[in-house]
Amino acid sequence: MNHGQSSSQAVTLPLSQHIKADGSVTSLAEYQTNYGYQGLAKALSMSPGEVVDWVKSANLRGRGGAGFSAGLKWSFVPPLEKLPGQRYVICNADEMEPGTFKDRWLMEHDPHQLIEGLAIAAYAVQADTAFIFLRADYDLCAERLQYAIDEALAAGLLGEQLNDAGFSLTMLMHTSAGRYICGEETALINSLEGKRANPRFKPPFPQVSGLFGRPTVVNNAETLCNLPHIMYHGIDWFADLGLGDDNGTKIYGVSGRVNNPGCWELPIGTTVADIIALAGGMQDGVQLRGFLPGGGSTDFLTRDHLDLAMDYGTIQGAGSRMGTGTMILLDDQTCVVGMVLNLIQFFAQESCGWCTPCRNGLPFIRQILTDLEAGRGEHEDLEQLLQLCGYIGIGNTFCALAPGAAEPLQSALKYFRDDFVAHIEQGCCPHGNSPAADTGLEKEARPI
Amino acid sequence: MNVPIDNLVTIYVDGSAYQVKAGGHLLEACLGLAKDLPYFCWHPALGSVGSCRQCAVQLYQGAEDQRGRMVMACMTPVAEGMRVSLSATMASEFRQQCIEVTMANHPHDCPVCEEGGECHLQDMTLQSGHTQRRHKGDKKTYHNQHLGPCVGHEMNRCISCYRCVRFYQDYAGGDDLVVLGSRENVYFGRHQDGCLTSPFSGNLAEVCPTGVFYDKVVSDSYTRKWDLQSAPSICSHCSLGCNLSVGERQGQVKRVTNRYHSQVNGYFICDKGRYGFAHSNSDQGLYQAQVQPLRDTEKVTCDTSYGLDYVAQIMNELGAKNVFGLGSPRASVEENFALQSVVGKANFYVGHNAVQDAIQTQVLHQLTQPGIYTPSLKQIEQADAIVIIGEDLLHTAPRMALSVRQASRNLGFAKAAAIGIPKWQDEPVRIHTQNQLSPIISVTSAATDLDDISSQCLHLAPKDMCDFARALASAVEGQFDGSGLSAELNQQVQQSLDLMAGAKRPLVISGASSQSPELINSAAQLALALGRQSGAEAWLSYALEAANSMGLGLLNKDAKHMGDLALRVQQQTTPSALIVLQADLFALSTQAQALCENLRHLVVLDQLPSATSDQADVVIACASAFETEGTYVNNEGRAQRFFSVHDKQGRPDAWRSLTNLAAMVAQTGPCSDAVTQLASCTKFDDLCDLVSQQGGEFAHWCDVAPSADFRIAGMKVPRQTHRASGRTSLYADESVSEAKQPEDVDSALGFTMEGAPINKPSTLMPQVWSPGWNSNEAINKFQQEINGPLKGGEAGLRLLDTNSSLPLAAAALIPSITIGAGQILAHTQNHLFASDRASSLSAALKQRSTAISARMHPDTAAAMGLVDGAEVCVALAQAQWLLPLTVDASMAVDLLLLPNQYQAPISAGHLPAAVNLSAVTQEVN
Repeated sequence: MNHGQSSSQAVTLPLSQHIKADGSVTSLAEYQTNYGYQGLAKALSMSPGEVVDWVKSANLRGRGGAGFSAGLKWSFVPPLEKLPGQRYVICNADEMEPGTFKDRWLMEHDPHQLIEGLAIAAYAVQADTAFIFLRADYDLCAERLQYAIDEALAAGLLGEQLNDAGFSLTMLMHTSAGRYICGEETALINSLEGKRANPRFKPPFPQVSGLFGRPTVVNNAETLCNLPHIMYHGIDWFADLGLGDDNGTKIYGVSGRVNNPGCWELPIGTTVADIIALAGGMQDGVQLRGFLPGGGSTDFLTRDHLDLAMDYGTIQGAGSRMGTGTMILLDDQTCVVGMVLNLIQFFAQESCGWCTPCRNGLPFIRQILTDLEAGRGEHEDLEQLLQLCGYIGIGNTFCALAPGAAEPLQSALKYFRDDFVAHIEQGCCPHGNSPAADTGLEKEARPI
Repeated sequence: MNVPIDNLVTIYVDGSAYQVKAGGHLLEACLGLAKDLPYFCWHPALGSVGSCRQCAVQLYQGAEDQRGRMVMACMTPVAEGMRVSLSATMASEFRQQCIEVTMANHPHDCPVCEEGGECHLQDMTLQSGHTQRRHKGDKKTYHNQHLGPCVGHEMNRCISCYRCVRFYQDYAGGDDLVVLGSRENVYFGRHQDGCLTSPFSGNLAEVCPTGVFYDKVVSDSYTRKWDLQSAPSICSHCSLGCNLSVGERQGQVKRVTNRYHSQVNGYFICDKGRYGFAHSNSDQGLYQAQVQPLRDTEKVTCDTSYGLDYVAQIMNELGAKNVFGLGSPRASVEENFALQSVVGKANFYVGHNAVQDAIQTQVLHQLTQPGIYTPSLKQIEQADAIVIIGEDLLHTAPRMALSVRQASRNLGFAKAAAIGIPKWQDEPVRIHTQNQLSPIISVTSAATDLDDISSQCLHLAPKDMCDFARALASAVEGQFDGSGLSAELNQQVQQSLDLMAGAKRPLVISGASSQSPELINSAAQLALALGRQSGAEAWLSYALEAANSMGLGLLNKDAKHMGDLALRVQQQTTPSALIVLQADLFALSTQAQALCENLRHLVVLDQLPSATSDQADVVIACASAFETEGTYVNNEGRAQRFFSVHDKQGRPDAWRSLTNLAAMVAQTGPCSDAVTQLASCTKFDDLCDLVSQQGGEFAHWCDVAPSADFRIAGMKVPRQTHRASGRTSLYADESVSEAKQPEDVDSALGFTMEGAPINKPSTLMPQVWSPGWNSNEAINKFQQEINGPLKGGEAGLRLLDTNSSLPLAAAALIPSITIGAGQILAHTQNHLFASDRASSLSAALKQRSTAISARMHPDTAAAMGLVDGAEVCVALAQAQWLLPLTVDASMAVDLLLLPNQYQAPISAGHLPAAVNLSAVTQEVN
């Protein structure tokens, strides 16, 4: 993994400026030598409404995948005068998107950046309690974040009376029990309440009725990490960082058969080709065939799309989504059917089991793909797979999990249909994969 | 565009304009318009959650929008001018695909499935148009659990609609049926095998859209729905009058299911109502008349007519003035009326003891007072603050406990409405309001199953309950100075006062199981005070002792009870006889033996044997409520008719035996007008005419249900379905010649499958079925609107609303109870599955009754030198009862609670009383 940029570039690549080559964590003292917590101080000197407007003007788009304006999201929280009482902010650090490890990189190496960002968000929406909802497996993050929270609390950066207006903030870390669906903000909230991690129906949106029925804002970890810098350096500075329509920087990542997989902070809008080049290009003997630009739940793009800028609008225009900005590459030595089957298996396993298309549709698709990969497929299966992708598509399900799961499959059928046909006609996987007769989950289910 | 009028909006469904109620959702609207739109997870009582995705429709932005987008009808509020299509290709293909993936794991065990032929999944599958299975993989299999004697479990059939847990946990407050696991491996069951604890668990069989949860009692002796001969019935197990559909085959009652009544039971009944029918098939029942010509000889069986003739001779011999009758709150109005006519009003007594009688008198007086209204169960769900005083509802009026549980959500509904969440959006309402519940104050002598939703729980002795109710009433009126109450009770009154302060629709619930007439009065005063405070009519509801307590009370407003009878018989100088209708003297009073000994003759009309029938010299076996017709008046004064399901037991109707008896008496000599009139009755309708001639509350008795002459298209309403099979061969083992269908001159129902399959008057709906809707979900085709009254009208007739107030009849003298040294005050504690004769004959329910024990507070036990688990002897009069003692810290002090057990040495009718209590010393070997 590349460990970031040198400090001379800090102003243009703010998120990774404290990340050290040896992988050690940035202490509070180190963090504070370089305007650490001054963004929060600035925010605390403004009115909460001014902070919301500030971030809205910066057009910071959510880095978790949806790309929704963070400031706008905050502005849906009813003003305290209209709806007094408890409100919450939550950092969504349940990073479980296949191929995505950017939040971990930030949290492990520079936890105060997230804490400061979360405190700014809390102040903006007048929440006196903030949660970090952390992926179960991120043990090192948990340790370092908790240490940093304690440090900040001891230093009076969190806790009681943070400004003259008497703003106070309690920050709590919650390590999840490990479900992909907890990355869906309303499922995350249910989980945090101790309920089943099923998504909630919207409206009401969490900003109106969220955690424990109170106004709640959920922001992705990387999104929050941008806030100290936006507050400190200003809106224009942030706008100048991006190369295209979007503002700021982005943590991009590459996994697959490249020479140097990892993640890097780059100006948002850097081209796909440049990012792959930073990853050292393809390994010897393999050719790039396509890539999932933003994690396991985005549509494939192909070699034709290498020159595209990795920003929200451009990638969407090409028929995919920027998602988390961490791409997974498909090479010519890897079976696309097997890759898609692997992803579908993941999503089928991570379905919460609430709505029919997701709960039963994904295993249905898994069955067909298993048969195809094993050479037992028929031509009609491809038609049915497309139908099923439509069936579990956007708007048809309770949340976005199943529509996301359909994206790699539907695009694989579009770009790599020949591979599917080859499986059918050759009666086996051209790459020699032979999945178990049934990759299904538990054959017999028991209550426990 | 049309302007919304009268709370209606215009929506366009597949191009046609309809007016529908504003504020509802599209699925409800479409079903209300008699459209077929499949659904699984939505339930009219449970609301919408959007999980099954089966009710997808296409929604268009306007008349120009040709493409539209798909939405789930159950999650989409109707709006003025909304345009939707059910037939649009995208939505209908989606619904088909939903079924295709849903059915991927569903077993094809329909031929042996309990739900076969009335399966909502089957109906919806057909409705969706899915026909071709394409899934090639194996089906999943599941481990099934043993869930007790009432509900079976076959998880392989599950389609994960989540209805079961939403009903069981969210609606009924149960905590031992949960959803486990995730993905396609969600599992609906218990953490481990074991009997479901909720007394509403049987509803799972109806709530489950397929055969995962099924009625195990039915399964043990299975008959398909279409082969059941069914009749509309009324539950006889408590005073609420839940509407039942009872089905039989070959003379055996096979099952009981809920029969929708929008104001009474809605969609749900309790397990006692559902599983407590075994008594009618019991081999322990009385099936033949018996007479004992000489004392101390064996009774001999005989024809009913011989038995009745024997009774007529007794009446002749002793003279009419020496023959008394004892009616029963368990018998119908018509049966009690017939007995009253036979013996004459002056000689008619009610099967109550003094306390029960005083309670009944108070109840009638209070409920007919100006300013007091007694709500239906549906209306109870609208109360925003409830005081329950002296009644453990789950055990005495379980369906009311369920309504109270719904009422507790009103605060939440209001809070959700404030941010625009409609009531039917089930999950958002629950999430937004979290655990906030409307105020419920529960004042009982021990912990109850409603304590979990109560804002304030007080466990007081019965006397303290009265003090509390009175104190709270005067506090509400601003006239409370706290004098005469303990500091603790004072504080509790203050807390209650604060809780009730903002109530706009307060309700007070009390009842007969308190065994305190004074409390009935105090509860009414509290209701009036709260009514005045809220500016609304005072709402007051009493749970009464039995199915027809109210009817018997109305029939005998100057109520004389068994104690009066015993006294009168004792004072008789001439020999006397007593005719007892469906009552057990020994369960009513400790004076029973003395009374029996003072009688020359004791005649019992009953369907089950009792200590009284054992002593009787004439027993007339009579039909159970499933074999006869009659009317019960429920606790809110609603007269409801039940009809015979079959006539195969050969037991005559009790009312017909009594009219026949009247005819015999009339033949042999001069008799009263009442006897002559009764003697002239040949049909049930004739008897109803006589009842209506009583006037007053009974003036419109003939409107309770259509008369036997009622016809649809010239035909009676069939009890059998149009698919009934084996009609000509069902009794071929008895005779190969096809017998004529039995005639039913007493009701508009026929023992036949011939009849017009159209909307019937609600009172006459034996079962629900509509083309394409074979399950009980078909009810939506019969409702005026979802959750509304039936198209065939609201069954039954409320009797108390139109009549003037009833004066407090001369109250029975209740001797005050003196607690002597070594004695303790004993009250009764009810247990739903153990308290009465009828349910004690249900093997399934018997298994679910808890181990019996006497209960008292640990301090009281300690003061008496008793410890938890000790074997104690409770003595009252000549009776002694050995049972274990349970100490219960939730209880009031200085009180002993004795279980209400059928045939126990000390029965509920003997209490309250001062009893002697001693530890049973273990013999040392």
